[in-house]
Amino acid sequence: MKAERLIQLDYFSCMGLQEIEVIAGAMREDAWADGSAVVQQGENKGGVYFILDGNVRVDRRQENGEIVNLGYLGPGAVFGILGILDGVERAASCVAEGTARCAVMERADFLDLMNGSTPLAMRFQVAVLRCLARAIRNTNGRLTELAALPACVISLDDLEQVFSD
Amino acid sequence: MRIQSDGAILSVLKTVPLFEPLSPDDLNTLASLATMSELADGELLFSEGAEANELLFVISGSIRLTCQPGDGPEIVVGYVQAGDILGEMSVIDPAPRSASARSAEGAVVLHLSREHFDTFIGEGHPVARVMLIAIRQMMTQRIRTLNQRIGALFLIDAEQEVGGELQSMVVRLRSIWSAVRAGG
Repeated sequence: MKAERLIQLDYFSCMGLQEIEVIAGAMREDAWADGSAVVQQGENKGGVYFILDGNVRVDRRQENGEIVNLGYLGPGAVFGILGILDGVERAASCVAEGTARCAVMERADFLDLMNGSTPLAMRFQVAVLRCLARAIRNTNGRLTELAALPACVISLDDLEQVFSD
Repeated sequence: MRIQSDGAILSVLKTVPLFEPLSPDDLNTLASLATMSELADGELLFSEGAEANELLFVISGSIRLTCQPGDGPEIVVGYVQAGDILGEMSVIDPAPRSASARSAEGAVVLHLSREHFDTFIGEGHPVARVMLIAIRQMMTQRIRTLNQRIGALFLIDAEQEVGGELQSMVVRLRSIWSAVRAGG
């Protein structure tokens, strides 16, 4: 895929243009139609997905069969990292809301870079850690907001604010 | 109190499990670029909102993290123990410190500037490798914990004996959220 598409993701700002071109060479750009699953809960395949355009809905099927919507991810968000690092099955499904376009890196390439010790690999690792840091900050913020909501004043607006991006 | 002596720092680094994979040369390099501080009980390491320009390793003792939302009282949000890294999020993704840090019972802390950390990465240095692995492990563990907390929110059975206010909140949250979903 074209490096220009990756440059729009600011967590790659720690890398030079030539390095981004190498990373882009290890990725492909793909599109998912509205309602189609980018990743399916329970499966143990696929790669890491960097959302370029559009949104995905994150749904988790509970043991009782109930499907709970955990939130939405938009342009700039990344998903699929933890399952690959841990070698475990997907914990939730990510479904396109409208057309979603993602930069995709297959797991073998991702693991090669995450386990590499060249300057390029280490800068890529910093970019990935940046994604994780933002996910942590984002989730911490939502949990703090949620905890601060008194039960008697929870409203639809409050929930939309907490759960939507 | 800051300790600048390479020899003193080197002897401490040799005892830290995190740095075991490093060769003597790599440890010497790290000791020459890092500084170390001994904190008295309650001594401030950094303040919430301050610029974050260094990575910290707790060598011994423990560090208490606190936040002060708005004008409210200061609340303890966690402790960082010997062997743990501190301040890694702000160094990886530049942002002001999200909490204040004070020694909880006296502590020894190793400081590595962001500039030196970035230089190690640019060189593909083994020091950067061990640090990146440790930071990755910390962050993935933190995300797993957060995911469990979120999952628990939706798994709580409204019929279970949970605290009154929490139960009320969960029941309302789940019913309202279901209505939101049903309404598209």
